[in-house]
Amino acid sequence: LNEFELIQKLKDGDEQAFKSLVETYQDMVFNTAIGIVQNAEDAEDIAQEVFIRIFRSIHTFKGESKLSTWIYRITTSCALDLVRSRKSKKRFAFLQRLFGDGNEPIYEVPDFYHPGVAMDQKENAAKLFKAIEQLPDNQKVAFTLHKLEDLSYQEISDIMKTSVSAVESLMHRAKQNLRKILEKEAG
Amino acid sequence: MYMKKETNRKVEEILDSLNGVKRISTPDFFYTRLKARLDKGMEPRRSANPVLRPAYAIGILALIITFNVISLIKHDKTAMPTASAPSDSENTQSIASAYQLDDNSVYDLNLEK
Repeated sequence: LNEFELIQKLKDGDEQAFKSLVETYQDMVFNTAIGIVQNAEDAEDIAQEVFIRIFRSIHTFKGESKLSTWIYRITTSCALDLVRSRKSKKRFAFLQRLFGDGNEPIYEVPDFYHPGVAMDQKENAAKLFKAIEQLPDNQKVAFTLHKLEDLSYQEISDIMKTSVSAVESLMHRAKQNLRKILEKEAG
Repeated sequence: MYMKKETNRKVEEILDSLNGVKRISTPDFFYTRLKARLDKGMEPRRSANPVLRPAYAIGILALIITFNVISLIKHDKTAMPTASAPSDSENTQSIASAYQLDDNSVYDLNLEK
């Protein structure tokens, strides 16, 4: 079943085609999501949401980009939505603590240990993930896709609907910012 | 100088810690859970109806207020008496005379009975 046939069958509501799509792309979606949200449970929740969105909006896919590019786009968008809602929850909890009696617990994200990182690099990777969390959204997406999904700048530019030079600039700024954050932490 | 070099080395080491990271697999029975959620038609993080977003709500409210103000101004203009137009009492008089209600005829009729 090639990509075109798969899309046609998905548009016809073929359940077997949907199962095939999920089996093909589930690891890609889960990996991308876990890199951004830095939590396995949230990543699975996002992966489910991504496939539900695909199922419901496949008729809007015009085939102007590769199917994987479209799926990456949906995944990063869903993951960033979760990160944003988590941040607003954190802000709200801070305000509650400020104006409350001070006993409300602060919503803190624990250190994230990526299961795919070599054992001797776990601690360093956890520090890096903590720093990645502080990056602006577009730098976070570019860096995560490049490092975790091993995508080229061309592929990232297709996903982010931008130019290759813009991705290069994003990556450069991401590395600069990460250095600053990590130096501050180390110093 | 040594400290700065050491910090730089540490930072570079951290930055390189994701090199060679392995892709992880989705948890087991992912499709089963996904299918159950699809069948249930349940979405925990359903995106809010765009019409309920504050920007839309404020826009719609502003539009309603504008329409109200415009209709109020228009109503005021039409209600304002002009020199050529007859006043309310003149109108009442002409209607009353047209239906012969200007000379207490109702009472006269009752008296005749």
